[in-house]
Amino acid sequence: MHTLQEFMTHTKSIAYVLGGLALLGFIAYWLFLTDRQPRK
Amino acid sequence: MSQQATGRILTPFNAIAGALILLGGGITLYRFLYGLGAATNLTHLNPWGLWIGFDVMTGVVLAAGGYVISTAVYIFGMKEYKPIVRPAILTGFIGYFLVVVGLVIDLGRPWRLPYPFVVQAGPTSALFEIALCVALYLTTLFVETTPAAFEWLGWKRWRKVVGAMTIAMTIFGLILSTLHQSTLGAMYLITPTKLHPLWYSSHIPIHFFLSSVVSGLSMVIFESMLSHRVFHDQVELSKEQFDNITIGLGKAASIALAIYFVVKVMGVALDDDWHYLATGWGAWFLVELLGFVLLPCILYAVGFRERRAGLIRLTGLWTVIGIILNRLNISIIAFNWQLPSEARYVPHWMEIAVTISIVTFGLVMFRWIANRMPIMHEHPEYKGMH
Repeated sequence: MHTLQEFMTHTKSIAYVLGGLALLGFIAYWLFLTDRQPRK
Repeated sequence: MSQQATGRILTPFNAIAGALILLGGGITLYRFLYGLGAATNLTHLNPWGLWIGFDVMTGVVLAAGGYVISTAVYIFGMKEYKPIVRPAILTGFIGYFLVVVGLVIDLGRPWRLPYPFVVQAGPTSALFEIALCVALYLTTLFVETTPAAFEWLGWKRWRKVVGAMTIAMTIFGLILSTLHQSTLGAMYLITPTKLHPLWYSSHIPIHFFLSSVVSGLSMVIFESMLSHRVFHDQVELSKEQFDNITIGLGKAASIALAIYFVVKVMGVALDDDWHYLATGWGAWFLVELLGFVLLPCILYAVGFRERRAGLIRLTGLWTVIGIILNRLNISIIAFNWQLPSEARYVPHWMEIAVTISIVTFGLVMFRWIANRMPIMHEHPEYKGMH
């Protein structure tokens, strides 16, 4: 990486992938957290 | 006066607490007579030490329970948490009071404390905002604590006045807390060359605010566990009610920790700090991130899922230790990380003694107030009114 453009493209692309994984992970986490909770 | 504390004055707790407070008082006098150089290991390279890193930075974040619980109860209408509002607000008030005490000991010249407001305001400074918010929020917490004091004193008219201000004070306190909890992190935005890149982030104000929510919830869980043991004769909650409150707080703390974890990882990604993780500092960062953020997040979730209040209480203690570690990492341990070891800051024993005496003073204050005022229980004349 030599330019700010390259740095931003590199870091932002990883951040977007991580963001997508975090959203998917949150669904799994939420199901784990609440699946034994009685439904209202 | 509804209740008077009874019992012996000379108990082992009082004797030890008294000795610690006297020692701290003596060292404080020494510090004011002979200056910071005589009582601390602070230098021009390390001008902020334990008194700022622990007494102020950590003190503020550990006192976040007041705004978190009062917002949940009075703004979001979660009335089931009402029994823990007063202990949380009292802890917050004492915490912020001790923050100011620690700050004055570090700063010196206490008569100049009002200067930022009346002599030389610096409205573009992060420190000015913190000074203003902490001063206003300490006043707000004082007002929020007064209903219990007025009930105890039997001042019905004043109790009515401050009771009518509850919602306004809660909203004001929430705004002030959001501002200064994040701005404490914003202060470190000017230290990219001093704070280790794994802890430094352009999002550090968000890290500080999110961790304050985690800290507030965890501190209330931990503090209520202690209070229910020490003041068990005053507590009106059944074990089931108390466990339900703890489990509900555990769920909220788990969600807050999950969000905090994702934001911290995003910070590493956005600054491209991955290569630092393979160093010794990286290992220490992972201890904090995995051991004191991800692990308690999972433990809180398991505790909520399996309704294990005991596990949640232990996790509360673990998380509080993690929050203390985070603030000490940022303000002391990972700060000036590039300096040679002989130039690094290690607290003087007098700094540690003063900090211990301040914490002890807080415990004594809490016990004195909770033994007299309706904090752990409702006053018979004001059932269901606060």
